[in-house]
Amino acid sequence: MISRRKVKETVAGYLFCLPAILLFLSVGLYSVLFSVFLSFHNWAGVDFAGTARFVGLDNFRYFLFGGSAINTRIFFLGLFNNIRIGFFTIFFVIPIALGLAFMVTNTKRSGALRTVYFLPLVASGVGIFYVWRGLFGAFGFLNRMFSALGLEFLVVREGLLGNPRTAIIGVIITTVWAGIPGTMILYYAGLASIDETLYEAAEIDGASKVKTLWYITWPLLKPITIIIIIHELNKAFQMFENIWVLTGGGPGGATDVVGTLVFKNAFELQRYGLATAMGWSVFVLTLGLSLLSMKLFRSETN
Amino acid sequence: MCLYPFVWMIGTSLKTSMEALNSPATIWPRDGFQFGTYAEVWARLDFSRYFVNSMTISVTVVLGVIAVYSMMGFALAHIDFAGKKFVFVGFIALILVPGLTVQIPLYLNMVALGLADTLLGLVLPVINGGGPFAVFLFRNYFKSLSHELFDSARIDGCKLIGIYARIYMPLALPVIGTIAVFNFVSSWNGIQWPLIILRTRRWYTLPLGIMYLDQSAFSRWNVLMAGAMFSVVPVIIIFMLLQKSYMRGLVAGAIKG
Amino acid sequence: MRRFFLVLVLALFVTGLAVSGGKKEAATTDDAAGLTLWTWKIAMAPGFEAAGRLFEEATGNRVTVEAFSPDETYRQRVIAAANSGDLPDVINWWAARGLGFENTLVNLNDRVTDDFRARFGATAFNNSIVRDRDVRNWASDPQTSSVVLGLQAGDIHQIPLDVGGFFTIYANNDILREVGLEDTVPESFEQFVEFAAAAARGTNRAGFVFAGGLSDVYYNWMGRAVEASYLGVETSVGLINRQEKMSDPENIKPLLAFEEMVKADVLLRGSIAMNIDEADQAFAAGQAAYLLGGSFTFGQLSAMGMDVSNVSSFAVPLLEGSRHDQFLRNSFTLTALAISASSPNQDAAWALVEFLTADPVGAVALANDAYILPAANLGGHTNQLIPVLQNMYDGFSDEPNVVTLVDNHPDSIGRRAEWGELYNDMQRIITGDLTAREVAARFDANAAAEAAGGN
Repeated sequence: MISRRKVKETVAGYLFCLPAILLFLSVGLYSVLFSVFLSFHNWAGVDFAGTARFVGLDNFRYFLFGGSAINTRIFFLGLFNNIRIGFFTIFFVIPIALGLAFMVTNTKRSGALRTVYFLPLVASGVGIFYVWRGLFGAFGFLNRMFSALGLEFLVVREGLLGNPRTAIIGVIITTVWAGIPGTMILYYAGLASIDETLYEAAEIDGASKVKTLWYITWPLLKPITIIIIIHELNKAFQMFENIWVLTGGGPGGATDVVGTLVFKNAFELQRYGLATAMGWSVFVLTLGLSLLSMKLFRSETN
Repeated sequence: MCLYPFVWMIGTSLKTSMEALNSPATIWPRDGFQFGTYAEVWARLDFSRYFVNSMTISVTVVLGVIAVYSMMGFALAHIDFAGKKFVFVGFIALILVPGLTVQIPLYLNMVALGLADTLLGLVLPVINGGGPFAVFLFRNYFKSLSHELFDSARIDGCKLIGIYARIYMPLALPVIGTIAVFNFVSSWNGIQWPLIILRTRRWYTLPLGIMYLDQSAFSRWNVLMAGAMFSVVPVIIIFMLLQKSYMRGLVAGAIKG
Repeated sequence: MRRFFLVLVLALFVTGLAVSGGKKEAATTDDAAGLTLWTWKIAMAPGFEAAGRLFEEATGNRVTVEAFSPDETYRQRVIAAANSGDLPDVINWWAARGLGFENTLVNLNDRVTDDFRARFGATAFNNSIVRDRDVRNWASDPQTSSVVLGLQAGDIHQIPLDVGGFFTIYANNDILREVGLEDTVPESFEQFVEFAAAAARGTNRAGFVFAGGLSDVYYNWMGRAVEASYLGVETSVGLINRQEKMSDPENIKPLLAFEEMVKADVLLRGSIAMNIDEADQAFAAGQAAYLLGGSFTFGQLSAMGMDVSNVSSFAVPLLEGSRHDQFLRNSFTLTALAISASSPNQDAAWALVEFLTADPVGAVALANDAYILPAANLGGHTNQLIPVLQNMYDGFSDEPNVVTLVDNHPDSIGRRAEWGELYNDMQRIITGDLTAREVAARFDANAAAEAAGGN
């Protein structure tokens, strides 16, 4: 038996969601459904009604189950790179950004400091990749700095991006750098919204600073951490433009990611259907990982 | 580490194009400061027009995202309605939609609506794209504010819209500021989507205007970097101007929360 | 009070949106009643505009040029516009067969008469006309789209615009003079490596540089010529057709020579991560004795401020014992122009395409401002080209070289996925992670696996 109150609440709830839902229905739903539908077709990308061929699961077979041995291998290597980038980005970004957010919160007159941390977010246009190439080059700043400091073992002779084993490190450095300011702002807002009285109560109870941090601050930051993880995970799995400009997937395919494969197939080889199949396969994976991280964090909180 | 690339951009913009291409590793120009590049860029860049376009687009996106998704976040946090969980998870899943593969379908969608080459056609998908993330943040934030606030206001006979607009939104300044920063910067720097949806140059933004400054046979990084400064500096100024009131909002939010 | 202002600002924006979203823009497109041309090369836009003005003087049709950069954005832009029937009248695109969006382009079979073709170089249309074996190969590949499957032999959708050629080594004689090798053309690949090594040892500069960051540059600009000349046409086609093994003791020689070159330590440090601009600039700055390039490189070097009077060039040197002992450089079509099927002015668009490609007046105006080499025979107009462009012509031969013969071989099935992997693996020879023998074995295994999968 549904109560009248529940019906009223439901109507009200949906009224509040209405603008968002209408917007999604008008400019989101079609492209999502059409794109999923496309993944079961052979289509070059122009005039769907006239030229698309239904191919069932062939597209998925092609790169997931060895339909093309090479493309299957490349896809999973790319996916592995996505996972590595996502994992290490999150691994480094969260503690660094959290630390910086603490610093800024506890510093008086932190205006200038905030602007400095904010800079990478603003400067995230394409031009920044030129800066990275110069930094990582064989005679770039990084190598010269290591030499000058006597840390010869850290010098990568061909430059960080010129060695298949280290190129991914260069990519991760750029994603960490680009991820810090946004994450910091999120944590900063999270920290600022924590009720001061909680700390005061903890202090009265005689809890140590570390204990307060672990038992009060961190649990309250967990919801925002989930958002950050999903956000960074998504960026890592959809990465295209920065890899394309930074390494082109090289050397020797060492930094290929699914995004570069999707682009090549969709817009260079005119296999749009195949490319969407790749994109949605990754969607399923990231959705699973996101739900998993939500579950992990939630059960811990309770 | 944060400053470094930025200092480098300034340094490169002051080099000759040869030095910029030849020795990207150095920061300060060897061959003297070439302020002429800035003059060249300024003379060829229709700054005021592109700036107004950029501002219009970014501000519209920010206002749209905040207006539409704060309401939804509020509903998901405090109103107990059927199917809430499904709506929430469904929207979060939208964050993960593979952007590159929906590009062409999305474009066709906008054409069908008659919105190709319009500001609305440019802006609506960007708002929709920023939505899930904003909903996520708003919902969490509103949830972290006590529900008692909500209950007592209801008992006082406040309408839901009133509770949302008068009680919860003023408390939400920290999260509004965060979302504003994210969406402002990403739409300010956006290049791909504007180029696909626009047929004429009427709504070209600063980054797009800068991209077409340089018509030489190879990359003149000094020109591109000088151009980039014209795009980056306004955002920094806006951030510095706004951060004071943003900070005040943060503190106020903390106290009231 | 604050809230009131907020509402006011919001209201203003909504009104602004409504007004600007309306019909205002119809006026802007109407007054440009003429032809629109799209390209992705911003550097070519001034050339298109210069030629466009001449076209307007001659015909009264105004030409609007729009450039979308970079490449990856342009590809998306064109596919999007093709879907909605918004392609411009004329589209500049990479010269190729089987583009995948021919269904939105005008079939030019009837427009391209014998007379018209006679105005171009012999090989200019090679990349534009669908051949019998293309149709056969497409039919055998399950990934081919219906658009491409619908093409027939003889179909033409593009007119060649500009040509170029790779397979050129540039030498910095200022550096080579220090080791007594100035103006000396190496007689073989092996000798070239010796010279480069001598330069690297005798000076504090490197021997050789190319854009190693792009995996296929070495192979497509140099390796193919070395390979096809050494193995001959039949064996090269056999490798493409998966009938020959790369690891065969003879067939692996070109790859082994590449490995020897890497081991001789002649490459400029860091070239494995360089793009074309960076490699050219390193050479222009005197960091290496030799540079791998194409016909377009010379202009690039002088644009970068290099004193090109001390730079000489020669065709890629070949391995000792090659079946073909000389490599002639052919020009081939780089980009082409197509006409949109949705254009309301197809005749005028054709007139523009003809003016830009085949008419010496238009072609010269375009070439001189866009820094490209016209695909058409300019005849007596060649001397109107700027000297840099005239120089480019000098290196070309009309007689088909071995690479052209391989490309045009009637049995070739075209390069499949194993080749992309080969280019990646060759980068790993440079980085010392794979040997030539390992790369050859991997190539053979890849080819077999793909064939087994029906690809």
